[in-house]
Amino acid sequence: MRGQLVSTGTTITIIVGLIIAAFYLRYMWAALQQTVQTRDEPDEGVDRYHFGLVGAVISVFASSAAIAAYGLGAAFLYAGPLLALLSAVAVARCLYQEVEK
Amino acid sequence: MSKVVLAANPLLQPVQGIATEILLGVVLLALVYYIKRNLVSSTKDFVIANRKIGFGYGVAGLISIWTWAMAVMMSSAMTYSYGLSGLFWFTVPNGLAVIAVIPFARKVRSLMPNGYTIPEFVRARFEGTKLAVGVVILGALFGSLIEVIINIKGTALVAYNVFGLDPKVAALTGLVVVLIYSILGGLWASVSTSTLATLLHSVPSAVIIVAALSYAGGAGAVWSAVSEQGQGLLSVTRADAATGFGITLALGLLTATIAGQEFWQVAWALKKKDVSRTFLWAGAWFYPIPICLGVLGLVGLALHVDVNKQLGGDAAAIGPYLISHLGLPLWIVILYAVVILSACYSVIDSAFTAISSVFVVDIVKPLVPNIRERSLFVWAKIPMAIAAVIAVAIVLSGVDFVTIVLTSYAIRTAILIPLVLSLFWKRMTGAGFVWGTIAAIAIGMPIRSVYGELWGSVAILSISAVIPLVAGLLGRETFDFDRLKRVDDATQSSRAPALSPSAVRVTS
Repeated sequence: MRGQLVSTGTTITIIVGLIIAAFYLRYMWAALQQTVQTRDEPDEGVDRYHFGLVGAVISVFASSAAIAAYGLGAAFLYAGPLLALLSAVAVARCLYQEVEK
Repeated sequence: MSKVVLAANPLLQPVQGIATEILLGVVLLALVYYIKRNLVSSTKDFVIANRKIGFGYGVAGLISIWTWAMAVMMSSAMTYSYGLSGLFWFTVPNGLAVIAVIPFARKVRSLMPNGYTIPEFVRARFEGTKLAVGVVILGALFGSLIEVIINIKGTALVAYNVFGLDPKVAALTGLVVVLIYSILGGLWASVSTSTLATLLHSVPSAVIIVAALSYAGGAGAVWSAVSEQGQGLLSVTRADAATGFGITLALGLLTATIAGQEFWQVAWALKKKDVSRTFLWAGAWFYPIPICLGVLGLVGLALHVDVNKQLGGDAAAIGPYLISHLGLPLWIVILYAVVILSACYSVIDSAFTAISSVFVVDIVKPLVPNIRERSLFVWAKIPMAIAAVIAVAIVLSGVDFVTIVLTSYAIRTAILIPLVLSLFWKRMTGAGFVWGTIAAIAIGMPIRSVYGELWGSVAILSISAVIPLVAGLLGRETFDFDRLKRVDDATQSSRAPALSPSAVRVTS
């Protein structure tokens, strides 16, 4: 047992994670507020998104590459935590887009 | 690596497990209370979020709804069992299964904009074919019930392995917590708490893995120790991972999403313009969570954790075992428990909502077409409590729920292709749907029991495809899909959703 201390790498991850979490929560709250304010507005949009297939190919290829990269060297084991942080950033961006509109 | 000693953390106590479960529940409950006050005032708000879920909440909600507790633990377990090939075959089909919903979600939303449930679609598509509707209702209810049971077992597993908490107490506590906030807010509660849960799956996972690597001797030591063992553990090309579980899992995952009420209800609850991109982004940004947590499997391999001696024969326990035995700080151990518990909660609340919408739209409303809105709103909450009681009875009694699992699996797999044909092929008939589904179950399940899951799934999918295709090609019926657009909104109309007989015409 080394008490409650963590390594420098962990500390950096915590700090970056807290910053991301702060933005995530901020946009989540803003998006919720907007949903409340616009709850009675009619939904008149049309689904015109055409990047489903390309997006699927890219995401499958990227995730496969990330897993395969673990086998290339020790440093790549940190790709997982990095991607997990990026995932939170990406979702925060989606929440921001919801508000931005 | 030899300096790393795996020992139980003496600071971990059962009371911390209960406190973690309840505190997480209180945070989610506070969020749901706000949601309830501002967004939930009718049955439509409760079961379909008034079709106002936006892009951000949709993406985050879907990620968390798809992040089962077992998925969090199994990414580590499959890596521990098969190396990187296990992580590959577990992770890649998982995200793809969410993205694969896009064409179906887009189609069903455009064909039937006022829909709620799969059975409702089947009723409208094959008017008068009550057997088809009954089978689909059964499949939807059992499928959701299974999700509740499996995830409540996940809660018990992590609480027992990490805190030493009695699994029954952990299961009961978790279920009560989720039931309370689900009854308050329905689908809005599910999506909003899942949005918070997605944050809890991602950032804490990164912190946990970096800390675990550090306490396991560093990334270099872990990587070298696994590399020295050979056996293709650092390769994604091991064939035994594909044949051992990968292909079967991929088929099961596609069935779970494409024929899963939890996903159809989100497709109908999203704002129209956001349907496709929400499923794409959710699938794409789901990937990092299992990829990150899969590293724990490599740590287990590096430390030569014995599956029988240290994990009680269950590889799924590798994550909880390592986190509670690496000597990590107490707060990191609790953070890991929060990741797993939030995954459990978000899947259970989504399953509760799916059960609620099927019960209201496909059972109560057809039986009592003129039911008052206030009564319907009350009825929407009752099946959640019933499902919770059944789930807790099964978990606490320890009875074997294999029958429910098999029934759910059989129905969902058997209706997958008929459902797809119903959406895209105007010659698909009610008879083809019913007999394709029944024959697939009747013939496919015995094949599954004799030749295993892979051949059973292949048989079920093949039979459920061939019979409807033959019936449709031989018949002369064609369906006018435009009729589906006129199906009434089930929670707003005083009439049961119905189509005129002219919806189906016979061509010469």
